[in-house]
Amino acid sequence: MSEPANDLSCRELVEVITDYFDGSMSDAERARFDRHLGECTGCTRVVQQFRETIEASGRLSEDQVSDEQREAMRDVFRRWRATTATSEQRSSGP
Amino acid sequence: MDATSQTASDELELVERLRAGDEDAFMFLVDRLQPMMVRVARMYVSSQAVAEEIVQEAWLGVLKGIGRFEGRSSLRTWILRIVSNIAKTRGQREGRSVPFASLAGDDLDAPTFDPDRFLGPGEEWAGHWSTVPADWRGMPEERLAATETLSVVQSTIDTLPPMQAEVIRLRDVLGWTSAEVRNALDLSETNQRVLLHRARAKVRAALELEFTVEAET
Repeated sequence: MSEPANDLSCRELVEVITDYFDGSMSDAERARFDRHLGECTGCTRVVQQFRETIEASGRLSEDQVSDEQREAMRDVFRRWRATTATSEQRSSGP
Repeated sequence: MDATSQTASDELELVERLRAGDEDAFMFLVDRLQPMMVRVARMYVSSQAVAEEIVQEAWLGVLKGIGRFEGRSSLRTWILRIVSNIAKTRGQREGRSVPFASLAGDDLDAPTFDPDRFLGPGEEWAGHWSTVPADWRGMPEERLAATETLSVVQSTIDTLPPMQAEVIRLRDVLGWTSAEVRNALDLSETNQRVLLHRARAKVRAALELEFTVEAET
């Protein structure tokens, strides 16, 4: 560790992993992050664990809409279409 | 993968069909967006029934407003924003203004890792790991995809403060971009990132516990 004052500690690094993934770091911050990873087994593992966590979340599926709600929304749509059809007839009528 | 925003031209086609009053296009959106619309509405109002009512109102707003949709945000973002606007107004009318902290969690400034995992001040390597975290790559490949693992992830997400839960669902379960999530949930760039990071850190910690317990038994 040649520049201790400038270096990221492990405690700080774990708080900015999402910034790192999202690309919201400056070039200097990113370089500092990468430099730390290059020297630190623990942080390399935790960053990898975050990747695996994201991957695991990606395997979940979104909730399904219930049949009841689905049909209720269909009714909303049909009622809306019926009223717009009527108003179009009215506006295009004599 | 969520299919409501595959490509710009698919989305344009969907918008055109909706404008033309195509029921299949409408139901396609209901199937994909209804559950998250209800969850978002539920953050601001007192009951599930009111949340469902708001979603109906939001769909009507979508149908009436689709002619004015300009595609400056994605369609799904625009729809979710309509829901949250109606829900917020309704929540206020109910005399229930929900403080941001109760949705986001009141621990946003706290460290996401237990401070005991790092060496304390005064130690030579202060701020560095006191014990090096385990290597998950030593686990069998299928372990991460196992049903028990996924149920740990699911149940952890379900117990997060609602805004953290919704951000991680949209970002990591459904693959939305950070710009879409910020827009849909009306969050600043920083808040979106902080919420996502806290959510991910909690899921990671739950998995770590699960894997450690397993290794010990």
